[in-house]
Amino acid sequence: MKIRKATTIALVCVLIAGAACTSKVKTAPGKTLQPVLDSIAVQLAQVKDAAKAVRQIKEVLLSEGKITKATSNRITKTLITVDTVGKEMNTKLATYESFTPTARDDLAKLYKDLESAYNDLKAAGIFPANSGVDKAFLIGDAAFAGLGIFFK
Amino acid sequence: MSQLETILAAIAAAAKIAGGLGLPVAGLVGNLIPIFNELLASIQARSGQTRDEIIAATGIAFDAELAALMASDAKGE
Repeated sequence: MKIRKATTIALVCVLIAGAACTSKVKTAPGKTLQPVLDSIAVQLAQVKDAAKAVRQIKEVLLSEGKITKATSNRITKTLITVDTVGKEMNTKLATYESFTPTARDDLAKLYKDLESAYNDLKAAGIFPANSGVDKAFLIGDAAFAGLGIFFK
Repeated sequence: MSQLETILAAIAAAAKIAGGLGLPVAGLVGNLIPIFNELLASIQARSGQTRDEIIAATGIAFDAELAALMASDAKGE
């Protein structure tokens, strides 16, 4: 129980710490520092981590019989949308050398789609209480809080 | 080590100590620990990388995730 509490507290801290790892991105030789693009790359990687964690928890819940196959499939389909849009945004990010207004507008469109798919996953209400998925969502929430700074 | 890495490493260390003391690390937390460990490894792998390297690794990981999800979907799961 103490470990569970510590885990929850620690993951709440992740929300605050989310942006901290951005400073560790190395600037490639011959390139200029682009902290916004660096931060977006890190937060997008974290969205991927969160989506993967949700999938892994879903697989545990299915194997333990805590969700039905139909519910599992509903989650799978929503995760496919999250990962597809996330991949598209990541691919688009690679094409920019600086955070220009055009880059911002292009990425903001994808960000909105990504956030919408992620919110569908969270709002679905299909995960049982105390299933652990809320912790995975905290990881995702931290990433979206970081991304939202640039797109809202 | 970033603050995020420190937090995740602390979770992993606490779980390891609890396991060593024979304390129950089961259920929800037991299921999450391997996921935290993987997340920590993922963050540590990004540390010191360039943006292009991070984007490339994320792209590969998204592809792997989509392949896993498509396989689940094909089974109706």
